[in-house]
Amino acid sequence: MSSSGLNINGIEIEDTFAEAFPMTATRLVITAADRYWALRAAEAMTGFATSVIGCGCEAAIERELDLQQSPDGRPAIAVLLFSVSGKELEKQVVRRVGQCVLTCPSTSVFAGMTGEKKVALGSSLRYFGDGFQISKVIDGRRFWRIPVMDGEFVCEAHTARTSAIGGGNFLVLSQTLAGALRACEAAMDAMRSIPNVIMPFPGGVARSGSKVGSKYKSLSASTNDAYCPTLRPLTRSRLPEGVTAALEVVIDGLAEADVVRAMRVGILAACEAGQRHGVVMITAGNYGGKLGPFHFQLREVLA
Amino acid sequence: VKPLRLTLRYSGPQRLNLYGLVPDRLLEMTPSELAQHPVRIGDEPAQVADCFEIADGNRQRLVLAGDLARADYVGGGMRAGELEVLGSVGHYAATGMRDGRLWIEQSAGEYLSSDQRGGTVEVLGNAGRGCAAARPGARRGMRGGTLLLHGQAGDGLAARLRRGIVVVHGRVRGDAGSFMIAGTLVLLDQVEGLLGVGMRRGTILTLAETMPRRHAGFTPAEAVELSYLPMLVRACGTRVQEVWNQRLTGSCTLFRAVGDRASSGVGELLWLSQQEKDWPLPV
Repeated sequence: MSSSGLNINGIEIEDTFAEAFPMTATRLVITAADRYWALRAAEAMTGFATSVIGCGCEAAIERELDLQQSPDGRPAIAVLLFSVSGKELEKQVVRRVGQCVLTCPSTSVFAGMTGEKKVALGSSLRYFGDGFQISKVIDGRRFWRIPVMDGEFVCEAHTARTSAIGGGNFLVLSQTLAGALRACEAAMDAMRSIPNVIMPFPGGVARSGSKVGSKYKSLSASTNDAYCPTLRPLTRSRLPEGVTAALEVVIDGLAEADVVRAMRVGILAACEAGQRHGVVMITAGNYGGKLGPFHFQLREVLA
Repeated sequence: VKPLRLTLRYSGPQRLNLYGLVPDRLLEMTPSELAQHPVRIGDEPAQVADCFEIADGNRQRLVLAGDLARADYVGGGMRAGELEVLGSVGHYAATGMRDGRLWIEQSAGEYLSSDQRGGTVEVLGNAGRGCAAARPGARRGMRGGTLLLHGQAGDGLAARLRRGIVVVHGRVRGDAGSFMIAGTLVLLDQVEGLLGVGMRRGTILTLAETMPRRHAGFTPAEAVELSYLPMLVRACGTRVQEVWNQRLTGSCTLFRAVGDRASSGVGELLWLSQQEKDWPLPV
């Protein structure tokens, strides 16, 4: 474990890097009659989307939009979905919108980004209308109006996708679990204001950081034993003396600059809150450069 | 930078055909190529220089000046840029237009936008018969884009409209939306004839104070909250937005009918009114 010599509020920043990998992403905008239902649809749609390893995609609410930014002038929520391929992303978008947004009262869904790479949305879901669906082209954008029991589900025909980055991260190492939780909560509060990024794990934080591979052949990932406090005497532990909890904040972003900004804001907030709660170190997860081409050096992120 | 300006000097008896005299085709031409660009006088081939005085400028924006009421196919085949006409135009304006903006200061002749496929056409004056409609012998009318007509429209407005948005601020002198295949027709003033006869699909939204006669083939339907309507209204320009907001705040409610059921159509008629019976009884 090497020190960068960097220290924020008495918390050491390890001289290491977060290793991230390429993904593809899209943004959807969900609107509804009021904020309550827009949030319910967005939450349902982005549920069970913490990791591509087991969920097919990583997704979360990005932000709430102002009414002026809302496509139809109703309360609107922007969500981001990340996946490893365009094909898988499209499959996840259609399934999730079909099961979680189409079903939610009063909602509509719109493309949240433009671009040449298209992802089918309403053009697949329209068949639910059983021939009663209506197409409407407004300002060059095609919408499908699908009759449902509370009126109409309006759904843009396509959204676009863009290349993106998954797996930006930092780890908060603390003397107590409570301290690590408080520091991560502070980081989350600060990072939610950053556009173009999501933190897909529950509350934005993962306690089950993983390493590549396993002793079991069927598993591609397994527990990151180097950061498990209970395994300190049994494995090559990377936990400093006195640390009893490590939590990982995972970040997916549309561009490197977005991930860097989110990491910086999050680490600074964690260090601000962490100094009162026994946080001793901030580090990052990497696989020696074998996993992905994006390496976010903590030193440079905080420079 | 001043736009490219062509001032009409032809004053003969023949009609001009200006198809292809559009900014995107002139963009990379030398001045001599521009002068030789083909147009037609009657049935005879001619050149731009035979009909216009040329003042070269920014080719992205083309201004046609003079009385072009006898010039047909203005904006024909346009794919990009801006074309402004300081005066009126003849028939078939915006034929084959796919993108860009055509602005006409005064009026347009017959079958304006009848073969428009994209882009925006704005006419400050009136338009003749068959605006956005299928031409005689054609199966369908306008196929895309937006037409904003500030003045009145002649008979046969949007007949067999296939796609796109047609907004008419003034009165319609005859039937409107007959046999519409799809697309959207927005009306701010009265229709002297019938609305949506034989309509298959599509939307007719009328914000007129006085409702036209209701065709018997339309059946009242639930006017639920249609969340696409604010987007549509926004795309129809500021005048439509103003009227929409005024009438909604004036305690009007949205009503809806579907039809023309006489021909198994599932199009929709939408109107704002104090009460449904404001719509006259079926004819």
